[in-house]
Amino acid sequence: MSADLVAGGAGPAGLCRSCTHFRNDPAYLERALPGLNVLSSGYASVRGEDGLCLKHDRFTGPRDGCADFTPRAGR
Amino acid sequence: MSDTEFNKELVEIPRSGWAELWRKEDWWAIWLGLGIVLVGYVLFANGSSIKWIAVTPPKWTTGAQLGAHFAANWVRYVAQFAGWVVVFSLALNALGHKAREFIPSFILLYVLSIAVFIVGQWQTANYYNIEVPLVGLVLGLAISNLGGLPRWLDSGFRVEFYVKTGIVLLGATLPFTLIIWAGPVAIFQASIVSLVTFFVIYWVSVRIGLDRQLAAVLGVGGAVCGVSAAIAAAGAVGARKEYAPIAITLVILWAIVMIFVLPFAAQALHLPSGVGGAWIGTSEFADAAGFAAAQTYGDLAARGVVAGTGDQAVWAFTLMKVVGRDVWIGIWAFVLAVVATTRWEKVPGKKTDVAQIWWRFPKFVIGFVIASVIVTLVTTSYSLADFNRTVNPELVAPIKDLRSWAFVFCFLSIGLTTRFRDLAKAGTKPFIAFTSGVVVNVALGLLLSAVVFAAHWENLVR
Repeated sequence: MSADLVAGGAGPAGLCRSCTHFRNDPAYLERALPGLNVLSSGYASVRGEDGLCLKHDRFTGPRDGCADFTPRAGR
Repeated sequence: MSDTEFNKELVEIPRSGWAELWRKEDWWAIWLGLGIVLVGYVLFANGSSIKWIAVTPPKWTTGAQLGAHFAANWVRYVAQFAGWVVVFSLALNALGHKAREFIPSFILLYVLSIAVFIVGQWQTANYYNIEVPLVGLVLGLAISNLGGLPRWLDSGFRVEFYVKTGIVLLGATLPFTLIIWAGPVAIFQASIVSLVTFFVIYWVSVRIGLDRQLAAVLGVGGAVCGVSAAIAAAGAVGARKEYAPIAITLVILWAIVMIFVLPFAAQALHLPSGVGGAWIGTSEFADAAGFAAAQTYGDLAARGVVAGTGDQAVWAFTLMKVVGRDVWIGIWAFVLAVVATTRWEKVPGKKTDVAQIWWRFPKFVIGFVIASVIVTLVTTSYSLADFNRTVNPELVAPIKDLRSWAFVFCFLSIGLTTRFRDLAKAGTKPFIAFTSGVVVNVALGLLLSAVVFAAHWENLVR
């Protein structure tokens, strides 16, 4: 895990699940990860609710967080 | 993709885990698979059978035979097609797919599946060892890579959904006592191979300078359950976005190669059906690809080309791959998450919740076990003679035929969704690291299946 997920060593300001940079829709993930739907699926239990952080270009879970947290609009 | 589009791409994380029951395809595979089993049982208990709708093309040698079959049974095919459309549409609509995309796609898939069955059931094709799974895979690959189809048709090519539904149906044809008897050996053998394969890939990756996160994603992808495991590991360790597509490419390439190599290598080595199935279960990288290889080997056994029965190859594969390997993915992910966040770099915001062992558990395995328990309980009161005379032809065999359809949908979908030009470039170093694991995995899998536990797998009985 890269330290840039917690810039400056600060604790998380919020959880990825509520962050504007977090994407975990199965259809989106199948488009973003070529071949995911060939021998697996974005809709599978093994993925849990993990998704991609567009800020850091990393996989992350909804319960993770970092100092770059930006609340989604309407929250 | 614009930010506006991105804003649609986040799924609300429900506070209650119950939503998973209709938001994950694993659970829909359970509902569909167990639904079919229960309908079959209710009909059987009332003196009827589900076999009318479980029609499949028979073995044939002349066009006249084939024509006569379809002339006499076309209504059954239409009814079966309608049944599949209804249940799959229900599930896929709940998962977020559009019926207007799924239905045309499934029409194409069903027509191609009939064609695959016809070729696979042709006696002349069988003479040349051309089996249904290989026909489906090659046809799908040819269409997607030589011609190409609109991408929206992928809505109906749901490889994982079909194979999971097929696995639940397979549970109904596999005695629960066999799971209890053979399961521990499968887990033991699979654990040895998984651990060795993981550490080989990880060690080689780190030695040639790859990042530890990529090493972990490649290692789990090769050791446990292919792409699904790689994605789980990527999430667990917080891997860079580009690492997962590298693992996906390598898993797909090697999995497809192994579909063709393992059955015929096993045949060349004169491995009995159960031993060959165990080897495939140990050394294939994904459930769907593994079933294609195991079903091919089972078909060879059913025709007397190799020793044993057709069921033995599929059962041994299932025990090894599903029971021995797949169910441990949550534990792998948890351990990697702990290592990544405590040994590699401490990250305050990264959670290592032990509950992910359950979150990531491949839930369709629950349906597989329940289906096995149901049919085992139903059949315990019958003598072997009664089982062969009534239970098998009226209940078990039709479920097996519907399972065959689900697997043909799956095999075709593997080919139809594999577009080699779209896969990410893996790079030389990841290829070397993953391939080193493949070599060790195949050799160790053969040693354990054909030497150490050979008697166990050879005598895998009904």
